[in-house]
Amino acid sequence: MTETGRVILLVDDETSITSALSAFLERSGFIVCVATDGMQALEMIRQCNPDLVVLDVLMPELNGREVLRTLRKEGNWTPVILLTRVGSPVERALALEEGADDYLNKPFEPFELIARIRAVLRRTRPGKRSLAGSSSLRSGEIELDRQARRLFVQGEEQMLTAKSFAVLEYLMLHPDEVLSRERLMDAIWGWDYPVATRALDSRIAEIRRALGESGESPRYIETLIGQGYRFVGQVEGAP
Amino acid sequence: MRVVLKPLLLVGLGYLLGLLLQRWERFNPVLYFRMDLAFLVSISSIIAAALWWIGPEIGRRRQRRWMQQVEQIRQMEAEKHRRFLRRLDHELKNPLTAIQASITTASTDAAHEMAQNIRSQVNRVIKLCQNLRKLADIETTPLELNQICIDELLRDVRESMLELKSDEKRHINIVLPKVPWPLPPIEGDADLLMLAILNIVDNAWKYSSTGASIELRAYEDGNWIAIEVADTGPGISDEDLPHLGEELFRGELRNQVEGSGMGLALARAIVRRHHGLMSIRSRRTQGTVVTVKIPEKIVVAGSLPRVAHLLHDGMMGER
Repeated sequence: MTETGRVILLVDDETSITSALSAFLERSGFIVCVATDGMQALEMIRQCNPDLVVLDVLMPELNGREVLRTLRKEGNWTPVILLTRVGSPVERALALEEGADDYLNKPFEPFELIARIRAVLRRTRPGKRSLAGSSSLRSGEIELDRQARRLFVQGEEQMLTAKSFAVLEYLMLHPDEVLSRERLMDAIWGWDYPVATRALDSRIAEIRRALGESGESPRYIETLIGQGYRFVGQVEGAP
Repeated sequence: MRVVLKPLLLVGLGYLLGLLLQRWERFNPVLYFRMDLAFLVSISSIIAAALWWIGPEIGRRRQRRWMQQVEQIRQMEAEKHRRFLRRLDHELKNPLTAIQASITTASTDAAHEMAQNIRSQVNRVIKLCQNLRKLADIETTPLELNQICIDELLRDVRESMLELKSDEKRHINIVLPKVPWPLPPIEGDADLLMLAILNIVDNAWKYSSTGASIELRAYEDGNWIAIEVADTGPGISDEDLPHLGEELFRGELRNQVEGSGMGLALARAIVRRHHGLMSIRSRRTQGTVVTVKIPEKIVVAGSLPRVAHLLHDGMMGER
């Protein structure tokens, strides 16, 4: 894979985490820099221009959220994966709104972090605004207004429940990625309950109805039996 | 009707009292107050009526205030408990993240049986941590209220359960009333209620043996819908029964059956969010029935008094 030699900036005020994670990331072929607070992180991002930042939210003084906001305000679109700790649905929504390219709840499987880093690196182009930083997403006949939480299909507004909207948004922010049901459940409901994935299936059915497509010949959401879902349409972001 | 009768009765009583006083020679109120008898009678009637009305109202107010205080204290306690759960979660997450990353880095080289063991134990603690957070979340996240068809809910529960445990064999039977009318839908958060019932059924499943039957029943009870999960498991001892649904509580069979002690606690928290009640009856060696009662309609803001009121209205006929 092409990630060898890519530079990852790891930002966390807990040295036990940065030392353990940087060893792991280095073994996986990345070059790792470490910052232990928000100010230092901003400085290092401006100076060494990393390919991706793994940013902890809870830090003293300048926290991860503020770092992210400052970056985006400067027009810096370096991909960011936020490490959240509270993991409440509100917090997750905030993470996406502020332009994080993905987020992970602590504690996480280190391999999961690698998978997320790879996925984000694959879908972002250096220097360009990422989907996560866009307030509206477009794909074919769909337009998703993330700020107003409204969905338009062929210019006509379609009603979606709040959770279904969040599912569609998450799918569109990760185009062409296979998203397991567990990951979607965890991202939107905050539970990884294997038994409750039926709840997700009914949301997907609702979204498909709104998009006017069937599960058999999907133009947007593909079902991968035993694996999860994938957004197959080309997604473009608008500021 | 009573509004009219009450003052009439009072005026009559006042009049009688006045007459009696007039006969009583040592104390003549007409002379004493230098007022007309009819005037005195009407004044005393008004005072009596006012007392009759205000008295109970004062009592009611005091009771209401007292209930409010109790509710306030209960909410404060709940809030404190949530804060504690969140703090615990916060404090555990960082060290767990570090441990997990360290073992993963270390265990990829050498013979890693020990590392594997540490990993599985860490995962257990992580799971527990997530469950505690979930519990705190359930108590505060806004409900997404929808009309829920009980029939569908129970069928979804059965299918999920059979899918999930396809390697074990149990029968899940659903018993629902159809005559003279089917169950009305209830208002609630479908995902959460499903999670609650699933957790209860999961328990019934774990504690019953291969080939056993689990029954899911639902019926109308006044303005409530009751959902029951019945199993033929070993039953629950009298000592354990009152502690069921407490966080991290595990019954006497804890060494034989795997579990986290969080399933029923989660279910209870969800039912409480729906202003419902959860009760358990059990007989040793025969089985256990868990009953969840949910009001058909939730009044979202300040609905507690309504439910408390409903509590005493258990016996209601058709609507």
